[in-house]
Amino acid sequence: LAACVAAAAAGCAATPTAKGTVTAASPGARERAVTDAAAILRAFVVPTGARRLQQAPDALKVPVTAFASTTLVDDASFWQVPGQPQAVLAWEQVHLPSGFTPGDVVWGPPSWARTFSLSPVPGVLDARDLVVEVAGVGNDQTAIRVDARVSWQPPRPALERVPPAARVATIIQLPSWGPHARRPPAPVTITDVAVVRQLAALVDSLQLFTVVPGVFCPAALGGIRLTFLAGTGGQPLAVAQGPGGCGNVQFSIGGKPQPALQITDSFIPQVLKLAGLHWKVP
Amino acid sequence: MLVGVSASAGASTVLTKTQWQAAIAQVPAPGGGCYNASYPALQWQPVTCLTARNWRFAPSKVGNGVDYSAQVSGTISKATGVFKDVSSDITEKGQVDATGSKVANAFSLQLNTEFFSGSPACSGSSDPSNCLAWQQFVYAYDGCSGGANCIFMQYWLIDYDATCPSGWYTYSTDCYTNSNAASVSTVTAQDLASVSFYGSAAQGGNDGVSLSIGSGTATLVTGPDSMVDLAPNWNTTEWGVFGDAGGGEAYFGADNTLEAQTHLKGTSSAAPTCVKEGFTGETNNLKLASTPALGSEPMPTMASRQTDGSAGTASCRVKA
Repeated sequence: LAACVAAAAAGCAATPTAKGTVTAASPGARERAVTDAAAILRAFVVPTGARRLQQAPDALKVPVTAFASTTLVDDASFWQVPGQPQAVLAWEQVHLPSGFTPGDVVWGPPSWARTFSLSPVPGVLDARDLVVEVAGVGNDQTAIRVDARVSWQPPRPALERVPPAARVATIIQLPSWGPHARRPPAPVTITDVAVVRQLAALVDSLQLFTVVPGVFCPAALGGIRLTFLAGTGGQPLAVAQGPGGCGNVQFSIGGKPQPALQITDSFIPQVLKLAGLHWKVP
Repeated sequence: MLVGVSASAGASTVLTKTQWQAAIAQVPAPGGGCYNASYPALQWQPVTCLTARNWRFAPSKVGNGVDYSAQVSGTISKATGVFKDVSSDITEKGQVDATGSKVANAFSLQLNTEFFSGSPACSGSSDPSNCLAWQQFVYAYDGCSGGANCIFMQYWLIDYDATCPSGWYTYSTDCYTNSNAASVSTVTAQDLASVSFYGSAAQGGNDGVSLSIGSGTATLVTGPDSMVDLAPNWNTTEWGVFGDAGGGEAYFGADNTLEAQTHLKGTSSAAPTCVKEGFTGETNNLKLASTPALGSEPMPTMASRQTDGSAGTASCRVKA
């Protein structure tokens, strides 16, 4: 989606586009996102004297902010109202229902925008935003674009988890590459079952990696490999390794590749902390 | 024993240590082994060789930072990627956008610049000194509307960490956007031997990406250099065949081998430097391999062999 819009310039013989969907079907979460987006759009307080437009005005055809995501519902409405753009935006901020937290601001000209966010629904809806964008259209008139954006989280099937038989874990820092490459520390084996279970829970808490089609990400350097075993020396029950490109974590169970997981900023620090390691992972 | 002297203006003088340092660097080794030299002697003396610790990086993939790139002094205005010594039985399967089952010939070709700072496009970032610009020249399998294969440029502002500029998309703390694109026919693994793919940059003008598959035709897409101001910054290029987007991997068949060669045009005609650095997040399942010396090349060139078979010690080669 992102790429398609971004490349939709005149003279384009073809456009890089999103032709995929999400990595896992999740109608429940998606439907909740659709419902939530509709409710957020209704929360927009229509300024006095505004009239609804049936389509995006030229000045606001392309939203000033856009997110690369395949798990995003974006509902939009368009309005025109007397007044100056910044005054209209300030009025809206004052009149929005409670619960919305003001966020990012885009300063114009040609347009001004502000994001207002609701709290996420853990494990289901990870972003719930109302984006109000305004632009002057002459004659003391302001056009308004309202986007309700809700990102949902595809659920991980129960079978795509670290098997409960895991009693041992090994942690390897992946070798680095380049002029400043350093010898990775020796692999570590964790035999404390309580720690192994915490590590497994950490892996199981990662969300599914939702691919953004057509994105050729920069390299993600460094990383770790976490291997779960039933006992020392046995065959791996599960392996999690990352980050890969685009921030994915490759995950396999019994040697069989599973859908990739999405790394978080805290994942590797938490693994190292649980294991009592003081490695510097790039 | 030869002693460091110079003969300037007809008079011999003893070399300074700095002069000696430069002079000894020009003295060839007597043979394979280990040698020392001490000022002022311009002669290598054999010493006992030691065994280096058995510490070898053996990355099992190419990509996601593991690669050789060609670096020049000055700037690059055009980089052309080709593949030599491609296995006659080469095959490839990969996931489309890193998801679903593997499909034959699902891969990308990428000519990637280095990550560079100072792009005016970073001016709106939360901390412009942290923001890095990046430009990719891409052939993407199934990468365009209607399932078309296409070529285009993808621009990145890494660690922009603020609301992205209009027309750019937010991806984590980064921003990205695409140039126009043009559809091309599918590049098969067998086609790699005849692929010629280039990226170019012109300050104040248009950058370009072009693909030709040995059929006597070529496709070109251009876009303004001002997107990230590549032309005055571009000094390093990664070239190769990688997975089809989304951090995906290209899986080649058993014992498949190819050699990625990058021909460079720019402000210098000297041989590029081969740097152990890669930029793309996509990968292939090959290993960096021992690369044979290059023959005569029409322009500054870097070569890097990749194989699914026996790789030897990874190396790359350059030639002016």
